[in-house]
Amino acid sequence: MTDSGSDTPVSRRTAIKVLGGVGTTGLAGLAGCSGEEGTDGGGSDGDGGGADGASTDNTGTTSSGESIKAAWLYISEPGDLGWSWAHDQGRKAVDETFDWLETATSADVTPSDAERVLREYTQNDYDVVFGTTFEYMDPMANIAEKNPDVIYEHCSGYETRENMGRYFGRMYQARYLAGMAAGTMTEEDALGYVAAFPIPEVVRGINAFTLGARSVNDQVTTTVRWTNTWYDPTAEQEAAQSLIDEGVDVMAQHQDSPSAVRTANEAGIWSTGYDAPMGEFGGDGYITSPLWHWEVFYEPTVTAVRDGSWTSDFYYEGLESGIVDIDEWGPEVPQDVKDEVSAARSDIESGDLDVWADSKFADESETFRFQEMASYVEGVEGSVPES
Amino acid sequence: MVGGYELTVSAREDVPRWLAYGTPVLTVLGALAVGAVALLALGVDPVAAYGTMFVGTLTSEFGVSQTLLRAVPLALTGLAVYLPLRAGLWNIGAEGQLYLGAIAGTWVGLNVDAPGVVLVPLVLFGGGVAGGLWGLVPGLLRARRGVNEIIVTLMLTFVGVELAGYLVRGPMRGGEGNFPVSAELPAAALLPELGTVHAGVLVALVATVAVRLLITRTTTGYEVVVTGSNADAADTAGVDVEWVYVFVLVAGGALAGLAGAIEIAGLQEKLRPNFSPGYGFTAIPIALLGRRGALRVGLASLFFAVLVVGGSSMELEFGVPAALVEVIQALVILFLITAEFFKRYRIGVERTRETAPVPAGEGS
Repeated sequence: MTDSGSDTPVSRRTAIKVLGGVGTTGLAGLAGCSGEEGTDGGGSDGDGGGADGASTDNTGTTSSGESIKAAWLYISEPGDLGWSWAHDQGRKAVDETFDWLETATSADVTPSDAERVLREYTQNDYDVVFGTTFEYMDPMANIAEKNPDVIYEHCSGYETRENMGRYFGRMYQARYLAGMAAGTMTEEDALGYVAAFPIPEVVRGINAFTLGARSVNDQVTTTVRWTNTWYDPTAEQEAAQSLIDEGVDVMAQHQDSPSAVRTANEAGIWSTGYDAPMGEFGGDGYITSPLWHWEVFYEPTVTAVRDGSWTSDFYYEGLESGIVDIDEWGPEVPQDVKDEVSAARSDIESGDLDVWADSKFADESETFRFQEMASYVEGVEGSVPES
Repeated sequence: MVGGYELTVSAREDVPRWLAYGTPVLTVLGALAVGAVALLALGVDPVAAYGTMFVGTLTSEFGVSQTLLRAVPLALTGLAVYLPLRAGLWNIGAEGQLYLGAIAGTWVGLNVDAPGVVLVPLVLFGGGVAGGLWGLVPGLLRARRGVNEIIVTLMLTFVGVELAGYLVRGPMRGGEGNFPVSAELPAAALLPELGTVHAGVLVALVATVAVRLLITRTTTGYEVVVTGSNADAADTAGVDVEWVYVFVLVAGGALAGLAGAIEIAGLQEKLRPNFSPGYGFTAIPIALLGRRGALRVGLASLFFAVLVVGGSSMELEFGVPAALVEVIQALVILFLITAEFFKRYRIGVERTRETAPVPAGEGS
């Protein structure tokens, strides 16, 4: 009855006004509604989807013949020059190397949506699915149990199944090297560290960075700011700025954006990045960034999936394998720093130098250091927030 | 430029049958045609892509069950906007009410020790009460003080979302590794499964029918509709308009709160910050499309769910960028809402004597 005649123009106009008023919010809501769906993050460069994959299938006439399909789930858009970007570089590398490999990606997959996206890849006959954030672990284990014919690989967690392996790299070795450079170059003996979540992975990086710095300068301290987010450039910038205000003169970060490095550059202090080469954001004060080269793991893994030799295990390699690395040096890094770090790198690669050797964690097990490390080494200010 | 002509807009007295049924179909096709241009530019076959998006989704068990699951929070929050709308009020804050429901539902599930038959209804009840309380505030302010409910509901949304963010980082944090996430609900608090979907589907269905019966069959519903048509006249006729305002916002809030509790107890199993992809905001166009009846709200929520689930499949199978899928979804919604206008109003061109310039855009 409200539709008849005279009252409708008013409510219609109100409707339009209201929609205008909350238009941005509403559209943001709608956008979010699908933004968290399985999305092809690589779509912008056009090599993410089945359309291309189909054309590469024709060349699969080698002895074992089969082409396989692999999918990657990212927590953020890979364009962010961070964690997902690094994984996507690895994905692109294997996609270009192997003409029998078809790859697809879903970006911005929230942990609560991971199960649905994993299920969809599973139903679409993907041979192997890589989940690249800690919080995909539980949904992936659930799906893996129900789908024994598909292979799953989870990065950074501790759960495995018969058809679900896990992989990570000894990033703490690269952190140690970056810390050495930072400890040598600081004049205030004050290092700042913008960090995402107080989980073992991040705490391990802070500790290794500080151990590296203390190995060359026993006066140095590290101050940590937690952002409680992997990716929020504004929060990262604010955290970095508050550290700068406290007087740190070298910035380090464990985040998915180069925000802290940029903030350090604007304040005219030294910086080290993470995940990606961040030199362009660090300016003259850029030192280096601990880096990932995930293709070092992805290449043998997709090959093993294809030839049937894949087994569920834990891949955990360091500098000597190439999966972790440090970026090229920034323009102002002195030669003696480069030489010293280079020497330490050789020692780590050869096994002569153990990052944890002189720390409180020296006697702990590898498992403890991987998934239970929850306190700082000497030289880090404060304590890890309680859970 | 129009010179001696003037555009006129007049309400149609009668919407012809062909127009009533043809408009939605034609406008959806029109929106898809526009989207097809972009797909072609990317080298994707639009027919195949749309086939995946719609036919593929509606003919596969995966697609249907995912669509139903996605439609549950959309339908309940859609009703949360629809019900106040019938009384002439705008509940822009279904999102916040949904968060309150999720917080309360999670808290009940984690802290009450009871078997599933008792605990599950308690979780849903807790969610409904919390959402209803979140609607009571704007309801009372509107009824007693005449405070604009659009502002209050919208602002309380931010309070609700941030409250959830605080709780999972503080008092309710329970995940491992210090992530901002609550502990996992015990199995007894989880909604029972109905095949490949959870029992929340049933709740949404019952709620839709209940709201329809409320509006069409009860005195309260009649008072709501009369208030929505003309509040002054309703007041003169003896309707307690203040009570109606409080009622619709509390009932709406309770429906949205129910959606939040269902989303946690049925799907996500733990509370995370920003766990909702904006269901409560998507609910606004859903309520606009379905404004003529609760069942239409249900249908509109199913349609939106297909857009989201099908859009995701299209991305996955054809490598269509996420942004383009969102553009196509937005086009469909814009076309549909615009078409409603043309369906209800007649646009005419009249000749005027004087050649006074007509302001551009008038009447559109």
